[in-house]
Amino acid sequence: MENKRPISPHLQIYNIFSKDMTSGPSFLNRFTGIISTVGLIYLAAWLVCLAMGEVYYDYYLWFITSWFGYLSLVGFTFAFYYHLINGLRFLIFDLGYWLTRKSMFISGVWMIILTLITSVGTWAFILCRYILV
Amino acid sequence: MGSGSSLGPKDYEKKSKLAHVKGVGSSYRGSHEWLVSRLQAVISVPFTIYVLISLLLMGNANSYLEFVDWLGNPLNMACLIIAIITLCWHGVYGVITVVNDYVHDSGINFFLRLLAKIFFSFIVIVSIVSILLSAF
Repeated sequence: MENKRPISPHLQIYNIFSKDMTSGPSFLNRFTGIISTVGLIYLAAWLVCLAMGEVYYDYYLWFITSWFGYLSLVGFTFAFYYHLINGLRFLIFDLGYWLTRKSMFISGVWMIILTLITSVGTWAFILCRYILV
Repeated sequence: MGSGSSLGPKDYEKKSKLAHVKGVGSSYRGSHEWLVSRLQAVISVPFTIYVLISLLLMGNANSYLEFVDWLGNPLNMACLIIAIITLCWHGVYGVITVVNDYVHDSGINFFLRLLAKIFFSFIVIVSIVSILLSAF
């Protein structure tokens, strides 16, 4: 006997561009979370190369300073800050605050602004301090 | 993942006998995984931010010896290890949630969840062993 039970709405039900900034950022939150787990692989690889000695560490440096390495790092930076800031925003929703349409929109806009400021700021800092010196 | 505990006597009382036998309705323990993933996230934040800022403020980012020195500092090492453990723990919960939501074939679902657990355990162990080997 098939037991037909109610299921929750799936991706295509939501308007991801809604001004409430709930389902769109929620989807992106999952996406950036998965991207960040790839960042954990880079981190583990870095630590392994560090433990294996200077020769292997130079191989890692060669990879991470290639165009693909930099592209990955910039991607991880955006993904990490987005996941962090939007995660905190959703945590505030979970605690029962900011649950009006207006405050959802305002916090969503601020979340995007803060993500851009922190990501661009981090890379501006790295560029000024390490790469362009 | 989730709690391994069985239903207590009070949970049985909340359900009708038919609902219990058919396995329908709330299990009254669904919030556990949700709560744990939020706690992991909150715990990981200060340690991760400390590690990021500390690494960004280092002198020469390409110097092998400077990174080994950085790892030799007990505070840096402890924060990095705690950050890696909490981030991987949060990561495995997140990946399993995504797999449960989007992979409906129970065989592939089981395989991917198993793979996620093995993968994150591997990352944690390899990272910590490497940190200890570099520092000592």
